Amino acid sequence: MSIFLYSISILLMLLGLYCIIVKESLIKTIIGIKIMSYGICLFFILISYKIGAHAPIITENMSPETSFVDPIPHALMPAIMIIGLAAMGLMLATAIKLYEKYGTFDIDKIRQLRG
Amino acid sequence: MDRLIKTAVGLIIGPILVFALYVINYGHILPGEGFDGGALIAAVLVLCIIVYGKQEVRKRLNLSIVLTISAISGLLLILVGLIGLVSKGKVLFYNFIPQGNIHNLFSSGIVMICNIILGILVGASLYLLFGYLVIYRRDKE
Repeated sequence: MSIFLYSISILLMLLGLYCIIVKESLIKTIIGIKIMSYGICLFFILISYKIGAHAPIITENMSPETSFVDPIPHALMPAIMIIGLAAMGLMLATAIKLYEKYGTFDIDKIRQLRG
Repeated sequence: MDRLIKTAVGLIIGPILVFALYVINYGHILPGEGFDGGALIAAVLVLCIIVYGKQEVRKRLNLSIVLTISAISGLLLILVGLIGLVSKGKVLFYNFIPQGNIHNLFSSGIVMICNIILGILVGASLYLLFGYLVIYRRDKE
């Protein structure tokens, strides 16, 4: 069962890689990079999962032998999403500037770069 | 952009902002803190620039005002630390507010104040990063 779930996240990552390599529009390339990043995030979240365990938050009337899922990936993945957001802002700003200069998002048509 | 995209983005902005405020206010209890909520606010602003166009957003939210907000919130964060230094603890970022009960929302002293200030700082700074990269234009030679 867990092998099946891991293969889903790896499939998502490979889908993003396909989108980066094959597509010609810059916006679709950026979407592919985000899909790859979310595949990696899903893989780490699946690693931390444990069957029958609670979320790692201490609440009232909780017995001492309650089992938690691993909280470290839950704390690390928001940081990865934020850094991905900053990188996506940089990529989108570059794409908008390229669109203003060349009038297209196609990579093949904006190849003739001049200084 | 298309009229369909504009309407959909106008509907989706409110729930994202409410979720950002939730992440900021519950930063000491749940995963995520002021940094994550501020990044959500910045994501909403970047989405507005992409969909509604930069002239429209620039008219409503000037970049110099955002720069002022970012600088003031950074100074406020230093001020909170210095108040802890001059209070009875004699340590930077000393908790000078009484702590509440353990399972409540107000149970963390100055951590909640620092989270709110940090959320405003990160949101304004990431929006400034994107805004200056998009709006800045080289002079025509």
